[in-house]
Amino acid sequence: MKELINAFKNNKLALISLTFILIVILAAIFAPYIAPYNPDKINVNSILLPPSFAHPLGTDQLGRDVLSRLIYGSRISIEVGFIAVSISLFIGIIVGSYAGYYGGIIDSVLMRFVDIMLTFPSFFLILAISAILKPSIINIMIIIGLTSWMGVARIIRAEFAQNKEKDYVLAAKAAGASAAYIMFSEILPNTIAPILVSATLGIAAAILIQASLAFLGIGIMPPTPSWGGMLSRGKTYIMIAWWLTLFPGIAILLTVLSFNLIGEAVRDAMDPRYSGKK
Amino acid sequence: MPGVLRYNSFARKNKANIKKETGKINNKTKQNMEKEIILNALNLSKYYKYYKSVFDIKRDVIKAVDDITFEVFRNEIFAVVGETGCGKSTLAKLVAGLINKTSGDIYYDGELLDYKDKKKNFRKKIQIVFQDPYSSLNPKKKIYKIISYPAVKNNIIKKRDRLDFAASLLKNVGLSEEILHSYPYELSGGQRQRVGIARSLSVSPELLILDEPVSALDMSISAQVLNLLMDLQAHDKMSYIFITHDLKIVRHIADRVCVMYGGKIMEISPSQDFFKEPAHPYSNILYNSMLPYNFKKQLNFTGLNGKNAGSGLISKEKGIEKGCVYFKKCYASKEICEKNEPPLKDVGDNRMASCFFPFTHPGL
Repeated sequence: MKELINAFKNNKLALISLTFILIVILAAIFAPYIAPYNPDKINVNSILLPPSFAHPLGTDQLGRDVLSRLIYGSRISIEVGFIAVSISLFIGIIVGSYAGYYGGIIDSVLMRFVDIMLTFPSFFLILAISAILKPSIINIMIIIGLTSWMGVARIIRAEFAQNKEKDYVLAAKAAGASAAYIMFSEILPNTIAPILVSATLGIAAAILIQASLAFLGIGIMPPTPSWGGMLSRGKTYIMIAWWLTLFPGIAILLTVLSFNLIGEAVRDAMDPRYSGKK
Repeated sequence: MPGVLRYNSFARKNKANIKKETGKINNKTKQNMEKEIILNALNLSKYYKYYKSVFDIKRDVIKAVDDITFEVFRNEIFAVVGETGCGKSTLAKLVAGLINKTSGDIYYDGELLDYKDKKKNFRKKIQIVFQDPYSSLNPKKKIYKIISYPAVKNNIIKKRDRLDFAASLLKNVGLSEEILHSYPYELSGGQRQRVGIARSLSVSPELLILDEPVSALDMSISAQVLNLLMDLQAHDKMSYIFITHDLKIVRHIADRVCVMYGGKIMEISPSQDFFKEPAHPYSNILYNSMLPYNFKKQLNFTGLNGKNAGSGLISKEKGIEKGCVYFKKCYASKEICEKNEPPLKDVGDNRMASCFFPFTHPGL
């Protein structure tokens, strides 16, 4: 924990990123109180208005307020980011810890399965699956989670393989601890740093994938505001209403960039070569 | 040359006389029988198989512990000495049940040692202290959790009592209660090793395996920890299997000495006899390699019997199919040593040595 605080103290960029992410998360939670307009309310009198005091980020082709839609859209992005990553962490930790702890044949079988999963071009796999399944945001989260756990599994496996040889694991064995206790109560807390790093980077990737899918019109049904979807429909009017594409684009860019910067700051802090303490 | 060595030729002659009086030997053996055996290992082996290169079909075998037999008496300190790679740590892990044996049996109090046997629960009776105090404590756990875990796991105390229990354990090993809520990285090496000892004591074991418990500590701290261990042993009537490479420590604390080389036992002797005159040629080399107080005395074993006598493991790759493991380095070896493997046999005075020519000394 101390390392984490230091990481942000000494890294301005990471601190700014963290602040931005917190703002986005708060906006997502308190969207109904913050948003100046109902994001779905069509207003024929205010179609394609440029940014003004009444509509800070302008209005779209149906007269809906872009700022309000952006605030509500953050809900989808954050939800997808966190839930998809939770799923991928869950699978990745289970697969990685069993492979790393037991080694041998279990390791070989699980890791070859990971290798096979990695041979699929994951974006097209997601496209194909989501074309078959019912288009819903839950399905999108699950699919993203199911296709992005391989990296986590590999990291966890390496950490477990390294830690299982340490004497504290032998000491737990000598006390009579079960394999499950050793894996999840002794070793897992020592792998929290790489898990945190891959989680933050994973959230950024998941948000980006969801936005791309929404841009292609997959996953989110039209009235629901999402950043990718806004980008997609705004592109028709890009010559006459630049604000329709610019602001969702910036929102995606900043969110993804922030998560990546935070991930890197955490990685630097946890890496013994950067932090002064062992 | 003999002036350099520490054995006393008079003592040797006297011993030869004693050996002739068979009655005395019988008496001593009887005394030995009266001691209660707490642990004995029969033909215990641990082989590691590995591929030498990616293209190998057959796996190579490393015999870390090879067909050894020994016993440990109740309430004694049984020291296992040997150089790096001789199998002493593997032996410790085998007895502690941390790795699976390849063959052989270990008996504890006359019962087959099987850690999977839930009823007998040998984990309560045998515990181990590790060498490296930095890796033997989980860096993410608080001290009180670390030291009370074995007791909680084995139902000796309830989980809610563990803070008081941990405090009393810390007191036993000479640490203050203040560190109960500390993390291992906040402690010094000596403190950590004491925490490691407290953890093993939490189940009140009868047999404690100490795998080089002081070799990672500096001199003064190591002396303190050794004294603590001796006090605990005397107070709690425990038996120790004390693994070390430092003969000075052995002389200080051990009742009996077991010398290992290349996965085999070379010699088992009572400590005071061992330090009077080692029986096995390898023990002799080991004994004489102890740093003398007078540094100007240079030890030189080369040129003895035309061999580069000394320690250092023979390359395992060549393998020893038959004959003595120490044959190639031994100053006393003759033809028979290459062809036949010397069994571990009685050489008198409660001493065992696996050598055809025990009590041979370099230069004689």
